[in-house]
Amino acid sequence: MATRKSPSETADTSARVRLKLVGVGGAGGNAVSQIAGTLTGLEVIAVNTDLQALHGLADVEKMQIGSAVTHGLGAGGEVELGLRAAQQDTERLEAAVQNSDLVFLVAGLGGGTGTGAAPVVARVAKGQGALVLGFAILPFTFEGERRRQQALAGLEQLKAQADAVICIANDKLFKVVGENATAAEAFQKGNDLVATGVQAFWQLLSRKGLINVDFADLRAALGSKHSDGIFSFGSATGAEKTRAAVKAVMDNPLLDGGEVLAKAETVLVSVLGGPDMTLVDVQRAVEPISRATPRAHVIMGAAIDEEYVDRLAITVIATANLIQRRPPVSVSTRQTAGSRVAASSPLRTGSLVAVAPVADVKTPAKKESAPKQESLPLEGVSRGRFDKSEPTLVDGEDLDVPTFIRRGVSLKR
Amino acid sequence: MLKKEQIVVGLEVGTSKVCAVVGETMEGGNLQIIGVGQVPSTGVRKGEIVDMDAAMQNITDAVAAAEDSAGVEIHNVLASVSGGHIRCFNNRGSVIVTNEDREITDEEVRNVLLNAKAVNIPMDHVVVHAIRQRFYVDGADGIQNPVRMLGSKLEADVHVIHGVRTRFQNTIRCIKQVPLDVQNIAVSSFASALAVLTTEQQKLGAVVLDIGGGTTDFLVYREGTIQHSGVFAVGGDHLTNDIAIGLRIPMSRAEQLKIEHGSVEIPEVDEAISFKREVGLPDLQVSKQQLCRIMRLRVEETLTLVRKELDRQKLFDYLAAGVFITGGCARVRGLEALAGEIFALPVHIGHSQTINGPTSAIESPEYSTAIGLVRYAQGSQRDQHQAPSPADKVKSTFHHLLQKVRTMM
Repeated sequence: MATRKSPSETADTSARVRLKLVGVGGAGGNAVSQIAGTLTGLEVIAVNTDLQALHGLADVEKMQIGSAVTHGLGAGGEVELGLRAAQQDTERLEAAVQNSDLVFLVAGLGGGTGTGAAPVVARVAKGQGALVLGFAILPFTFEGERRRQQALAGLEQLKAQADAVICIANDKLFKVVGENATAAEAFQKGNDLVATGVQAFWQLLSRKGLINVDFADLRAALGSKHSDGIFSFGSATGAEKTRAAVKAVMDNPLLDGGEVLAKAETVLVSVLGGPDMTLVDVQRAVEPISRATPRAHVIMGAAIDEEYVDRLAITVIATANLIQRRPPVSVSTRQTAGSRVAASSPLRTGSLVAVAPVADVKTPAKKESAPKQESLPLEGVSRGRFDKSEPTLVDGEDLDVPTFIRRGVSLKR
Repeated sequence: MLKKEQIVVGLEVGTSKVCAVVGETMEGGNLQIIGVGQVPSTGVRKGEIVDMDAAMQNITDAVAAAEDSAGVEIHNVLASVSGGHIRCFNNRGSVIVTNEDREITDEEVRNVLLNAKAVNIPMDHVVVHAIRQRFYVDGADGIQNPVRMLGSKLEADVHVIHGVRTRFQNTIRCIKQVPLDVQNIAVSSFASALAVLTTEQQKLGAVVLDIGGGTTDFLVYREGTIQHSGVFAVGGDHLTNDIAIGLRIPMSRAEQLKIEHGSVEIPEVDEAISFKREVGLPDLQVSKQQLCRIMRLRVEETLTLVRKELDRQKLFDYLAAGVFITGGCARVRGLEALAGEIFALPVHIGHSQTINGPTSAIESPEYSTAIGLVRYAQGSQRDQHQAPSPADKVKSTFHHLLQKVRTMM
């Protein structure tokens, strides 16, 4: 599936594509467990260091890793522990993901197990010949700078290992659920988003394409290292189905009221309709979206599903540089301060941690981890050696910025 | 001992190198290159000096090397200037011939040229070249030299190249501090065109594209006269910078990679290029396809910028001789083919074909600016000693320029 295929071949693929859904860490496990209830034909595995958290999950195959490292407890927010736990059980992970074509990997980043183990799982799955699509759930801002930095570092790791990564920022959940929603509802909603994403991608890759979109396109759209993948999904039925579906896509809070599209570098638009879908439908679906993305390279696809009579679904996957990558402000000191505060005043931090979706607070962080070197984040656009010289502006473009960055060409390494 | 007038030196203070070329006027007025001196440049970005001390040291070294190689002492030079601030336009001036017998003399010609370049340029700008294109006598077209013709109204078209005064002054001052006399200055594209194009090619119409380390200078000849010119502050440095950012390697590595493996043709089959790093670190591997893709995007963009300029000026129908690419980036593998695709014109990698000298200098595209300066100087000198020759487009600007260089100081 990594290469272009004719529509007929792709149709066959839907029948024999072997899918696995793997949730790593607390948040990942919760998400996949919920998806397992709604989607069928999917093998679902939850991977965690925390035995107790695994016990609470339904409908999934459970796998505990790193028993020698964490002794069945969580990783306590230590990425290092999560990483070692996964490395220790590489062989079991290999066995779990083998014989699959496509692995959806769901992980909440920022904690220990999700951040540390997910890249390892991705690497293992790739090593077994599967294509890996990651869904990274980024922590709330209120969870603090340390988790944020840990999550971003983990995201880079995951991007390096997986074929493509979609980011779901928890902060956006506020917009989805409104302020009066309970915490449970909010996380429920977050998991729904992941479920929709998995479903949308599965459809995208497995349906017979009129204008075919395959994994190569997806990779081209999501492959850039310096940008973040966002998706939006909308479906509607009835006479005005196209307009309604477009509206649903555009109104998705994940797109920030179209702001994401305006900033996007690459946009993949996939339209799924019944056998009665007309070319005008496709045009009406794609046109408003490409209009909203003046800068982006738009890849479009259209597919037919026999069951989608009088129904239309649109999936939009956009990449843009959205997450502010602020320079890490001395991570090690913050970490130390953080754990001290946690010990001395449980009220202050405790309340925050309790809401955290990937909270692995079973083991208090006793050991202060050694200072870690964080990679310097890319601030805005890079001008390299011309950083201090006068910009070369031609037709509003700064020519000192590498052409491949301005053109949004991804250099997957 | 050679007479001082017979020796002319072209000095290019470029982004990637400082290069001095020594030329000697032989019997019969032929020009011969007798020495070349070159050192890597450390004080120049995008064609303009950013570190005076470093640039001065480079100039001293390059001139010393040229002196050694030519066996002469160098006291004065012609310098090339470049930079993104350089602009151009075409303008027409006119004068009424007031002689009793209505004969056009040198004075009228001088006046009409002065009139033609007396136009509004920004306050801080100065005219470097005002190159005559053609004359009109009483509206009659296509006159090359109107002197001794009869008429009541003389008009002239000129191509005016101008730029920010202080930026030119930086180059001149830097050279003067070495100390060397600056006889004259010329924009890089003009100098390169003098080195690369024969009179025949100028008449057919041609584009000279000098892609150097920090700038891309272009100049268009149409029907034997300069019709358009320009500078984009984008060059080989940008290629290196793109590679360094794209492949996440240091600049020095990127430069080496560009020279040894770089191409603008993306290979069908990817291969890994590995190179050694400091002791203790594993070898670094980069993908050749990625390298070439990064380079192609940049070169494609730069060439397209020039093509758009030509399109805007509607010059494509007048370029029968094609595109002549020179400057250090002319060495980029696959450039000829890519430029052919973009311009849809014959593309030549420019050699300095208008001058005699050692093959190593003549055949190297990176020397064409300095060699062109020598040729420019020759034209200027002949102007001092001989009667004006109508075919020489260079001479009219000389006196004026010489004066300007003096006043700039």
